[in-house]
Formats: sequence, structure tokens, C-alpha cells
Amino acid sequence: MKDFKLVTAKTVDEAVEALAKYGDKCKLIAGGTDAMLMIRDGKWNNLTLINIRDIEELRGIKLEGDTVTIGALTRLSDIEHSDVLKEHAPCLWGAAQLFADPTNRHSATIGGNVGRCNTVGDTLPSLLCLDAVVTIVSKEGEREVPMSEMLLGPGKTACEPNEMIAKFTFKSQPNSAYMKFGRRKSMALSMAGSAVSIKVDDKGIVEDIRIAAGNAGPKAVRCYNAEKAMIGVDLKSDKAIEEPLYKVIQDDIAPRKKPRLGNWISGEYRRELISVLTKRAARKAAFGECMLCKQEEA
Amino acid sequence: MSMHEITLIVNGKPQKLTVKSNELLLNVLRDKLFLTGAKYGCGIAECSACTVLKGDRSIMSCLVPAVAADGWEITTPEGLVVDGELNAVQEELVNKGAIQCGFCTPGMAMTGTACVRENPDADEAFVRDYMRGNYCRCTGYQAIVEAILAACEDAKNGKRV
Ligand code: FES
Ligand code: FES
Repeated sequence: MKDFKLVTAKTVDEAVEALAKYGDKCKLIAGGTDAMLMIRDGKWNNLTLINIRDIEELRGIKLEGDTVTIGALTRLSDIEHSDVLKEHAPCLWGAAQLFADPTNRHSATIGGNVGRCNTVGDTLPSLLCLDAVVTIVSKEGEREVPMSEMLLGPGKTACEPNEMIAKFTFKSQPNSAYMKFGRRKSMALSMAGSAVSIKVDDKGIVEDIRIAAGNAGPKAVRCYNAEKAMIGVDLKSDKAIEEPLYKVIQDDIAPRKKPRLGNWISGEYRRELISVLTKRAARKAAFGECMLCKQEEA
Repeated sequence: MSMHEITLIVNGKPQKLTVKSNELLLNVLRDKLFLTGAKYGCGIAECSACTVLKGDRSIMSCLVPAVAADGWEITTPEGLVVDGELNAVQEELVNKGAIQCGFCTPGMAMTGTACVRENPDADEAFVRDYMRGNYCRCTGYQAIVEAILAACEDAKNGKRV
């Protein structure tokens, strides 16, 4: 194994102390499902790892009134089994079930998934469409960053080297859903994903919507243009959705001819995928089961 | 590199060890405790041959610096055997002929045990989904899935998992 030093922090105070001491000479390690791969790949060298895996105070899912809080070290397996999230953030709950495999999910944490800001991170679109607020801590104190300003690019977030993610907070959104398309079911990284939080009237007309796309470019993005175009649209009509959505979602997604991560898919194919996934996620979010997609798939 | 004193509780026994900061849990289990059940397949979270249990949860021991496992309760494939008797998953893997070269088998037994403990009412879809990270290059998986389903039945009939 490549060489590294390791210090274990048992509390948030110990962790921010260590971050202040080592600064950009260190990396946090939580579940390790990504960190250890970076070390093996030789992408992280001569580092001190700050092991935060067993900081209990950063673990847990809480519902207070209509506000949901998720600690940064909450494991994906805790998320997929959470009744609170099943009801109040089904998009995130569903994303956790699509994440790698159960064994990875027993270790991987939501804070790690966001902190690594991988192009294909499965929780990112859901947190974006939930409009979550990220609480970041350092020795200097606490600050809050909206999810929409958190992700800067592959491996880069608004977190400074001396800071760490403590928790995510968002309002309950029972009408939300996440859809992902991978090359196969097992352990497939997402080729494209879409998360939608939606409000429709009793006729199925969109009143309010937030859309976020995964693997949409170098990072997951909020699709503001598509959101505007979808207001007033009849969710039951394919044509009514497809026209505005397919046209404008291109403006939200970074134009990238050569996709990252090898020659996966062309830019055009990704745009198509994200449009279709968004349509399906919107219906699933609004009506629960996506009856209309089922017909389509049959 | 730095040295660390740690205590692992492996298969119920506390083990005091001195490890290097970059030593992996997998290597400590294999090279220091001579528990060679968990296998080194890929080292990069692809194959799950290195799976062990932390409590009742399956984890990949190739992803854990041993220092980070200080104080954990770990079960290796050897720990599933009690008084010379295999647990239900191990036994059904044998019964169903789910073993060819055998390299993946310890990992299958670990993840399978986590699966049965989590949901003894599992159906085939659940088992296939649960086992999706474990690679086998020989059997074609069918017999493995059958073995785990059979172990679910055994568990419900009171057999130890
Ligand atoms: S050796 Fe750990 S997953 Fe392959
Ligand atoms: S039996 Fe050979 S790899 Fe599974």
C-alpha cells in the first residue's frame, strides 16, 4: 500500500483542530470507499488522512417540524432504510438504493459523496433539487452554503482545506424523485441522472418545480432554464413536456463533446437521457408511481 | 509512516496489535492474525472477495486502514464457523454446488450472511440485488443465489446464520 499518515478524530473539535494543523496537506477519510481508491491510484500522495469515520455526533437523520437534517457521516445504508426520508425526501431515499451495492453503502457517507463531488455522485442531484443547505465547520466556527453554490467541479467544493461538512438541512418534499440510467444495474456509475421536486395542481399542471441533473457535465447542476419552461405544463401529456424540456435542458447542461470517465456516451445522448429521465422523475414525483412511463416501457 | 497500537475484536476475541498507518485491515487479518479466509482480489472495491462483517454489516476490508478499525468488532469467514460447524450460508453454498475455484466463496459467504441477517424473507430479486457487488468468475451465480435463498429458509427454521 502507498504510504500515508493517519490521525483519528473522535469528535468534531478534534477534526477541525487537525484540519487547521495540516491544511492542504491532509484529506478527510470517512467511509473510505473513494478515498482509498484515490490513494491507490496515486492521485493523493504524501498525505495525512484525518479519520473521521467514528464521529457519532455527525451521524443521524432528524425531522423537526417540516425540516429534515442529515448528519454528514450518515451512511447511505442508513438513508435507504430511513422512514423519515422515504416520506419526506423520496428522491434521496431512492438515490441511496441505487448507489453502488449494499456493502459499499454500509461504509459510504453522504458527506463523503458531496465532499468528493464526483461527476457521477448519486446523492448530488437529489440534494440540489431539495435545495439543501450545507453546514460547514472549521476552527473559526460555522457557516452555511446553499447546495447550489457548493459544487464547483470534479473533486472541488466550496469547502476550504481547513473546513469540513457537518450536516445537510432541507424542507420536507414528499413529491420528489430520482431516476438514474447506468450501463447495467450492478455497481454501474450513473451515465445520467435526474432529480425532481415538484408541485402540481389537481389536474396535473406544474405549479412549481426544481430539477437537477447528474453527470450533466463536469458536475451535477440545477436546471434553471428547464424549471422555468416546465411551469404551467400538463404533466400527463408527453408532447407538452417534451417540447419545452428537450429544447431548453441543453442550456442547463454543460456542452461537452468528450465525456469524462472514458468514452461513455456522447453529449447528445446524454442530453436525450437527461430529458427522458427528467420527464419520468417529474411524473414519479408528482403521481408516485410513474404509470405513464410503465406504459412506455412495456 | 507512523505506528499505532490498536485493539480489534476479531471473531469474538480481542486482539492487541501494532500496525503501520498505511496497513490495511485485510492485510492485518491475513498476515498478522493468519486469518486467510478474506481474500485479496482487486484492492479497489470491485470484487468483494475481501468482505468481512463489522457487526452485522458487510464491509470491504481492502478499503479500511487498520488504524481506523480500532475497537471494531469484526467477523471473518472463519468466524462464521462455530465448533466446527458451518453457518447456514456456508453450508448451503456447499450443498448447492455453488463453489468452483472457490476464490469468491468466502466473500459470498460474508455478504450472503449479511443479506440473510438483514432480511430472512428475501426473494430472488432481493438476493441478486444484495449480492451485486460480489464477483464470481466461475459459477454463473445461479447456484450462489439458490444457496442464499435456501439459507433464508434454514434461518427461518432456526438454523444459525
Ligand atoms: S479486494 Fe476488496 S473489493 Fe476486491
Ligand atoms: S467459484 Fe471461482 S470465482 Fe467464484
